[in-house]
Amino acid sequence: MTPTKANRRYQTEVVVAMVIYMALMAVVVPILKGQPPLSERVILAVLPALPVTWVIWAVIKFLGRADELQRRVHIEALAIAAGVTAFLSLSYGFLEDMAGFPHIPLWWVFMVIDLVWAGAGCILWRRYK
Amino acid sequence: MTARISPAGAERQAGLHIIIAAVAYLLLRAGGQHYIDAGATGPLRIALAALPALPVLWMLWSVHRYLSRTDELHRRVHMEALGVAAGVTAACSIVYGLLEESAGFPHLTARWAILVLGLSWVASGFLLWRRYK
Repeated sequence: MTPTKANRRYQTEVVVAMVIYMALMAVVVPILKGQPPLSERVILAVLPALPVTWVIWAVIKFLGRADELQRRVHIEALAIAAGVTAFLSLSYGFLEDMAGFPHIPLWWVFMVIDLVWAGAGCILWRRYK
Repeated sequence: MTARISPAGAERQAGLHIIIAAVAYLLLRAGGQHYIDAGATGPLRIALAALPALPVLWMLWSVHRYLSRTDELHRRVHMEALGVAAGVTAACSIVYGLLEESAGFPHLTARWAILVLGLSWVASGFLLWRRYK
């Protein structure tokens, strides 16, 4: 598969997975608010993670098919996201534990990784082009 | 411009910096906790809580410098391992975040993310290194 085709397919898979994720959240959250039994709550809470797993799988597949430049940009952007997330999560963890800052749910870590990955990817792409 | 040194030298230097930063982190953490327990409040409390983040920043800088000085294979393995670690951490954090918010699982602080990140970095680095060797 050509890098352009791989890119198009990757983008389609990510968009479809994110639409499924949002649809699942819209269905699952109101049911969870009704406090069903614990086993049901666990299954419902894990359900939206399935499209996220699909996105991760799509990224892995894309990186295997992309050209060297695309691969390099994505890997470097992910490495930057890992570093920034490590610093921010540790710093906020201290503030939460020691300075009484409000608790934030762990899915914020996912948001930070995604945002930094996207931001770093854009900057690196412009730099290499 | 970053000076070129041998991969072994870069590894030794980064290892030394990370150990010093870890010791500084433990000292600042213990010292900060001591003063907070003694009744520090307001901006001083926030500053004491945020101080241990400085050696962590130094650790990250050491990793960055190591990656810019080492050879292409080391660099590739570490970058790919960091990429895998970011993916694993993203997946774990969204799953546990949903369980925490919706299924009543106990709250975990954001510091847990760095543990997952570190462990998956080491594990994937080890596996990738074996694959490339």
